[in-house]
Order: sequence, then C-alpha cells, then structure tokens
Amino acid sequence: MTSQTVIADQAAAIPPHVPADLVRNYDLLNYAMLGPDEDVYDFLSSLTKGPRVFYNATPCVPVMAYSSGMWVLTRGEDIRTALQNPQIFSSATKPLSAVIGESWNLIPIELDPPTHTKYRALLNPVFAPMKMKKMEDQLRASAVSYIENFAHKGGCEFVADFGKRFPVHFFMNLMGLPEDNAAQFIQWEEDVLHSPDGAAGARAVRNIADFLRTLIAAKRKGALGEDIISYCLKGQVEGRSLTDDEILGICMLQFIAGLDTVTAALGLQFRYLAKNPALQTQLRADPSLIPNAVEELLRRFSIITVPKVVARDAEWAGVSLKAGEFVIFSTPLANLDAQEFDRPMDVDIARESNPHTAFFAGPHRCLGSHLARRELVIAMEEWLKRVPEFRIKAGADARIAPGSPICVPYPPLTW
Amino acid sequence: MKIVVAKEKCVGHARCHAVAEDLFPLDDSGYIAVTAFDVTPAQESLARRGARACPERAITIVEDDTRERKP
Repeated sequence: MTSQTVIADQAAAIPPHVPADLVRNYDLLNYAMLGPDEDVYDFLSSLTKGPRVFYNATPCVPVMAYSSGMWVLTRGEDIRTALQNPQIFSSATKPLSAVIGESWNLIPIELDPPTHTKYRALLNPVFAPMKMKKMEDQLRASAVSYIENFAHKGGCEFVADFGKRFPVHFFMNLMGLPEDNAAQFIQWEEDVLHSPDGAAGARAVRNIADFLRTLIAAKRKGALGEDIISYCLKGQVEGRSLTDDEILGICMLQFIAGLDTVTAALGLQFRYLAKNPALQTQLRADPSLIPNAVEELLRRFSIITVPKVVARDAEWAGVSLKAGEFVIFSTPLANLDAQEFDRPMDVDIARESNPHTAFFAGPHRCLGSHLARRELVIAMEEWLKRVPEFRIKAGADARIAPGSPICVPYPPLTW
Repeated sequence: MKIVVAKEKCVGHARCHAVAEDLFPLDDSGYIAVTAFDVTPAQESLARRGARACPERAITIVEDDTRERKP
C-alpha cells in the first residue's frame, strides 16, 4: 500500500457530517508527538483552549484499539454533563472479553443504567468511605513494610519497589488470596495494559479469567469468607443469585481498574514531589496538608481517558453526534480547563475548593475512588515520615508517558 | 441559610462529607443521606465549602433572602 492510499483511506473514514475544520490527527499515545521539554499535560492543556469538541481521526485509546475516529470533548462542563447523561453517552462499547472470544461484561463499567444501577447497589457498600476507613490500619502496615525495605538504601525504583506492590496488596486481600501470587498478578496486569503485543494482552486476559473462574468454582464448593467472591456469591441482583460470568466480570474489573491506576497516580505524585523539595518540606512539617495535596495532584495529574459510544443521534457542544460513534472522555482535559479551575497548570494545595473529576463524573464515578484516595494519602504520609528529601536520580528517564492511564514508567528516586 | 441536595445527581464522590462529615452524612453505600437542611450562622462557611466540593454540582446553597445560587 502506498502512502497516498493510506491518506486516502483516512480521509474516506471521516464521516461527512464532521466539519472539516474540526478534524485533527493527534497520536495521543505516542511520545513522538511531544516536544523535547514538553509533557503530555502541556499538550492536553493546550487542547482545553482549542475548539470545544474536535474529531480525532487517529486511534487514541489503548487496550481497546478502535480503528475509527473519535470525537473528543475538551471542556470540563461539557465532559461533566455528558458523563451525567448515559442515555446519550453509553458505556456499552465492545466488551474486553471479546479479545478472548467471549461475551461477558466487565461489571459494572461496561453497563448502562438501569442495569448498571443494580450492580452498583450491590457493590457500593464494599467500597464506601466507612468501609475503606476500616482497612486503614492494614493498608498502613502494608505501605510501611514496603517502604522499610528500601528507606535505608538511599534510593529505589519507585514503580517496581513500591508503586506496583502496594496496590496489589489490597487486591490480594479483596480476593482472599495469599500474597504469593502477587508477582504473577503484576506480570499479567503489565501484559493486559501495557504490552504493545495484542496477542500477549489477550493471553493475559485468558490467564486471569481462567484463574478467577477456578477461584470462583472453589468458593462455590467451599466455605464463604470475607472476600469479594464470597460477597458476590451471597449477594443478589434483581432477586436472584449472580452467575459465574457475572462474578468473573466483577473480579476482572477490580483487577484491571484497581492495580494499574493507583500505580500510575503514585508515580505521577511522587515524581512531582521529587522535583519539588519545597513541597516535601511543607508536607513533612504539616502532614495534615497531605489529603489536600493528594486531591490537588489528582486534579493536576489526572490519568484516565475512556471512550463512550453514542447511543442515539444528538447535538452536543455544537456538533452532530451520530449513533454508534465514539466519544473520548479525558479526565485531564476536564481538570485542566481554566473555566473550571483558576491557574489550572499550577499545583496549589491551598485551593479553596477543588471539585475535580479525576474519578470521573456521573453514575460511573470510580467505584474504588475511596480506596485509591486512602492508598495515596497513606503512601505519602508514611513515605515522608521515613524517607529524607528525595529527588529523581540524575540522568534517569522519568518522562510522563501518554496513554490511559498516563503514567511514569520507571522513575528511579534517590536520597 | 439552607443547603439543598439534588440526591438524584449524587454518585458517591463523598467530597462534601470529606469537608464536613457532620453536615453531610452518608448512607451505607457512601451516598448523601440528606436532601435539605438549615445551616446555623456558625456552620455557614463549612457548609459552603462542602457544597463547593461536589464534582457533580449537586448541592445548592439557598440564602436566607431566598435567592438561590449554585456554589
């Protein structure tokens, strides 16, 4: 195929109702599009000053690599109100299970209300703030044990030594599994979410599904415990018990959504601290500022972008959306919009109010948000108590990687 | 001053509760448990901050002279 035919094919793929002046070709997954001193947030910030909505002709969501173009909303208010409107912006995109030739849904993220609401009602109490508060001591002990492994060593590989390990601890606990499996889970997670090789990603999905199915079958036969599979086996939706595929869909989502996201947020927050010793000093002197600092860093360095599918033709943000088209929802765009936040690129831990949507808006607000917040706060508190002023290791590559989640792949720290 | 919560818009961020847990109690699901309440002058500043923390913009402040406004 010549380069001309490629360009012709791309042009043909743009539907006629898309205004030509709103077509863009940003490769939102690639470093190459960024300048040498630019990070992906500079670029995303610039989008919030462009058109309210544009049509990106280049695929821009990993894992679910759609080949067609997608609408991108760029304003906080438009993003929020659209997320509050699942009648138009549906979550019933192609299920992840399709990569292994199956058809179960990730529950509840691949469902729309009112079905979605029934599963959320079942799961909300498991992740409610009061429930997470009861996990506090255990999470803290886990964070401390990891940090003490390297606090005296003068440095660490942040993601490998802490960022990946800490959130896995909770997942193992949630599933009622011993920590021996942690290394295997970390490898599967890496393959599902970060492998450039689609076949490796699909194999990992298959491995996790097989593992979870075996675990569910064993729980069905044995005594029920305090883990989430037992909770699902005891629970009901629409007056009936859950099927194995429903429980698998719930557990698989915990795996995909709960591990990598916290790792990515930890990496970005600690990268920022490493580059800003004055903030470290301030938070060490007054740890009561840490929860607000975590919120502000969640806003400034939001990580998640997801596609929704248009359920019926609609006018939105001045354009015509057609049923079946995809719309990209980017939490960084929502939270870097100057119409929503003063000086949005500044990190200001004293913001008077900070109603950010790092955990999304609308009915799909991140189910694990209260756990994630608690993990981030505990990590920062215990780290700053035990590790002296730290910085990025000289000469190390601690660039921010585009994608979803946006992350810092390997920030080595030194102190 | 009065606080009015559009409960149907609450999706359980619990940011109001994080600012003022006594003013904005939660149910067992972690969603807001109240729909409207009066605020004493001493609580006004805290109630405003709790209202402004809502990412869904589900909480309205009603001033005593009945002017309604969004936080």
